[in-house]
Amino acid sequence: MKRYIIKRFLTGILVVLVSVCINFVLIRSAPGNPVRILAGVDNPNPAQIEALTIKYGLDKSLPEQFISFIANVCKGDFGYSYANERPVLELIAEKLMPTLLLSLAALLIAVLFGTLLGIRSARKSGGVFDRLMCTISYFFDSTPSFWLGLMIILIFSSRLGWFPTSGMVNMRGGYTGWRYVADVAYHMVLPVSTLALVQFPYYFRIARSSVLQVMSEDFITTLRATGMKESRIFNKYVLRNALIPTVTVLGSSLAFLLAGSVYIETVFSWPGMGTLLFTSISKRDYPLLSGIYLILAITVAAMMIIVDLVYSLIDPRIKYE
Amino acid sequence: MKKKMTAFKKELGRNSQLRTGLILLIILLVGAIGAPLFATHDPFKLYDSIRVAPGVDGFWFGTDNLGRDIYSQILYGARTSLEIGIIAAAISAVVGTLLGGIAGYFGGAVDKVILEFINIFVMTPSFFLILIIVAMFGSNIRYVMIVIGLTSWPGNARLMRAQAISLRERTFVRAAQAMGEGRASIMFRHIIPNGIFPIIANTTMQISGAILTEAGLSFLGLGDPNVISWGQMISAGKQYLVKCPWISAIPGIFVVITVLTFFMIGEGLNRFISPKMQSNK
Repeated sequence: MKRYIIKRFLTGILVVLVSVCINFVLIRSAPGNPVRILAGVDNPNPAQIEALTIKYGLDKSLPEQFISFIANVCKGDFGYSYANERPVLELIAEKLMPTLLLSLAALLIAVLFGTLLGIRSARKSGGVFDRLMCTISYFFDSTPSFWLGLMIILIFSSRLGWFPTSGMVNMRGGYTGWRYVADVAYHMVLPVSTLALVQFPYYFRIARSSVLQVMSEDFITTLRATGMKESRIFNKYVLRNALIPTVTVLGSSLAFLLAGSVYIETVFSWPGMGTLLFTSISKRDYPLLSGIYLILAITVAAMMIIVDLVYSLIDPRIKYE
Repeated sequence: MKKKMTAFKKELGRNSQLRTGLILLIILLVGAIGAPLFATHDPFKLYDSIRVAPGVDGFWFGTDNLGRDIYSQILYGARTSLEIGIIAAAISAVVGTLLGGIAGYFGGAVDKVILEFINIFVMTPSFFLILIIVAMFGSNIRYVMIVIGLTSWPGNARLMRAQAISLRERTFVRAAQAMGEGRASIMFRHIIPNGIFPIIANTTMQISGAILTEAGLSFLGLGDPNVISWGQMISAGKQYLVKCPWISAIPGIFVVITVLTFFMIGEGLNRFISPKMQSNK
């Protein structure tokens, strides 16, 4: 177990290192002068360009440049966004909360509904409910999230007028306290539903197939032979074993979830990392782009390791070498 | 081979998913290849009728904000989607099969190194990597294909590795080894051909993923401006969503149908390989 934890940590560190390398290589090899890329393509300020050249040692040899790049990252310096005139880390920290709020709410709903529906589908597999749910899950799996978002806006805000089209709060409301919370929740309904709809098929299929797999195992047949009630077998033995795969995919689904929220935030003008990323693309703000990538890579690696460790605690069968 | 074909025909009879998927695929391919024949207008030309509703003035699906015919654009857009999906998935299949095959068949230190490489790749958020590369190096359609292909192979590598590990213990592989056949030859003549089927099924599903990624990149403004892409069409209609919903809605429906087609074929193939296996992404 100890060895396993150490091994996972080492892999995590390696992932971060690889991401830093990729970042370095990308900035170095992108068409054009790296100083111009770091300073923002439209930024002609010679003082800033001079300062950047010294900071990243761009007048020195490649290995020296690489070392100073890593040193800056280790100090927590992920670059400076010249387009916004603020450090990258500060910009991201500001936008992190709205994104987490949106994506975690969607994740919770998607996991909950996906798993419950998957279990129900598997109990009566081949039935009407199962076939209907499978079709629905295929449909949402094939739907681009941004398009679904647009269609949901079209129906529920433009035509029916039930919900606001965009934003996180009503700017003119000036609400405080619970009114503010309620207003944010009201604005969250459409984006969260869209994100949850495109995510749920994943959890639905995992829950469904793992329940089916556990139900076909020998020990369940043995339990049936002892005359135990079907509901008791299901609740006590099948469920517990069938939920393990859902836990394992939670870590790796984080990257998937954040990618999904980029689209949703763009469509619903939600003031989070996705919108930040979108504007940094259109402004060609490379330091911000690569900073976002680096921070995401570190976060995803950390989450996957944490989930792996939790997983090894839940499932006593797993004895890591 | 003949036996396999008859088995496949039999499977088509009862596997409705595979059948529907293949029929849809044929329709899509015919539409994409025969785009110049079926198109009623020039997809690039800006007509005077701007934002006309579907069916008006002979524009079956209406026109967009610049007066381009949506129906003809859909036909040409199918080319882009299919091309990107198929080539990206093919790159991913080749890289995945080779790396997975080498890892599984050679084993030992080679396997450990490749496995660690796969683990690292799985842990990096590939979508954001694609985004940055395309944003920095330009959104040429070739880049997009290659980048999507080169970031999506780990699934295939894992599948092929598992296949190779089980195949290398089989008697026919042992026999080939005993007869002095070289390792590379065994890998290409025995291991890969016998273990390729799950990779084919998975690759079909990856076509779906690549099509969605390309549509997404185009939507974010990172599409190739020289080609017609459904993602770009959806993006163009965003501003006119309320008054002219068809500009975004119609290309989106085609993305869904196309992606669904490859999902159905992949799922159907999976069921064909092992009828007991349940869908699990």
